[in-house]
Amino acid sequence: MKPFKLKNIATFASLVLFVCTSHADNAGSRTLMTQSKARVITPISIVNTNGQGLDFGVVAIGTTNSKIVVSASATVVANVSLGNAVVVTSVPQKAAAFTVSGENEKTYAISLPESMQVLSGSNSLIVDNFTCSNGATGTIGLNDLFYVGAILSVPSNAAPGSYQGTFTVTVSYN
Amino acid sequence: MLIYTRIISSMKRIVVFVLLFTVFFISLSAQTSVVGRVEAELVVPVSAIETDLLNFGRIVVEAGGGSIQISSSGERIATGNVLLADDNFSTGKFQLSGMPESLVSMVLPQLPQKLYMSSGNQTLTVDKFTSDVPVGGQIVRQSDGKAEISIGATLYIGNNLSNPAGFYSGSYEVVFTYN
Repeated sequence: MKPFKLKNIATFASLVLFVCTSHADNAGSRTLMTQSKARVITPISIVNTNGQGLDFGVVAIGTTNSKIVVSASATVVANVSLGNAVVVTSVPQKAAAFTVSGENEKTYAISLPESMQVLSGSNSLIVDNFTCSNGATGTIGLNDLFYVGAILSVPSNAAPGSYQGTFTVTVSYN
Repeated sequence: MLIYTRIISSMKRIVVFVLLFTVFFISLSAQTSVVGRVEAELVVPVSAIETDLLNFGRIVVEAGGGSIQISSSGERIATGNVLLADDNFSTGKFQLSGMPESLVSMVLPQLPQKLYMSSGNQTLTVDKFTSDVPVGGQIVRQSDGKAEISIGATLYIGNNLSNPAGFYSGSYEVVFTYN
């Protein structure tokens, strides 16, 4: 659902009322029954809870191309789905945390990126297969806090370093 | 007639909005986005090379056999009817390479390992492997990303019939992982 613009809606509403009045005047009518309702709902908002980002932790590069999975959950268990890279378990991995607020009981859709890159200088790695602990939708008041996980691809020829990037999470009322 | 005409004429122009029911859902913001961070630190895999053999030295075996213990700190003790012929012995030594300031743990053989006589079928047994790796793990030096580890063990020797004089050798496996 595309966002309404308050300004446009207000303009539209006043035009309707104007037309009604004009017609009534022209007709010399004494009857004008009009009912206009406006329901203002709480806007939807989302914050990055406690600034908790998606953290793959420390990964020892493997001799084969590897994939590191961070699940969309409060507690992440080291998971190498492909290859022989090793997650250094003394450094915790974390799924990104987000909190949604808005009109109670209203459902919303969650949009995650298809893929993105994390960078370390001129080197880059691919992060994709984003998942959300709420799935594709949520309900305000029911599961306001959700987690986002993804898969990091670590080629065997990856360069050591600290990789960083950002991704966008979008929520919209259904 | 005039009255009817005026009424009809008037009705033509009458626009009656019986019910204009308009509901506006005004959503001040029906969609919003936030940016999340992604982080990953890639480090070189831990690796190790053997820099010294675990060498129990030259041993004189008497009738009853015995054992030789080498501690990871480099002390050698003979127990039973075996004699140490010289001081040429060493702990096993490895040099680690890995992420500077990281902690590396090591898994030693949990089962006895065999040493095989070079010119026969006789064997010796090595057991009770120990190392000088601290409980919390071996820290890799910040300066060069390396660390040295020493390994000790105990060699069991039978009598001079079951273990005739000769050269015995074998291998053992240790596994290093980042903590």
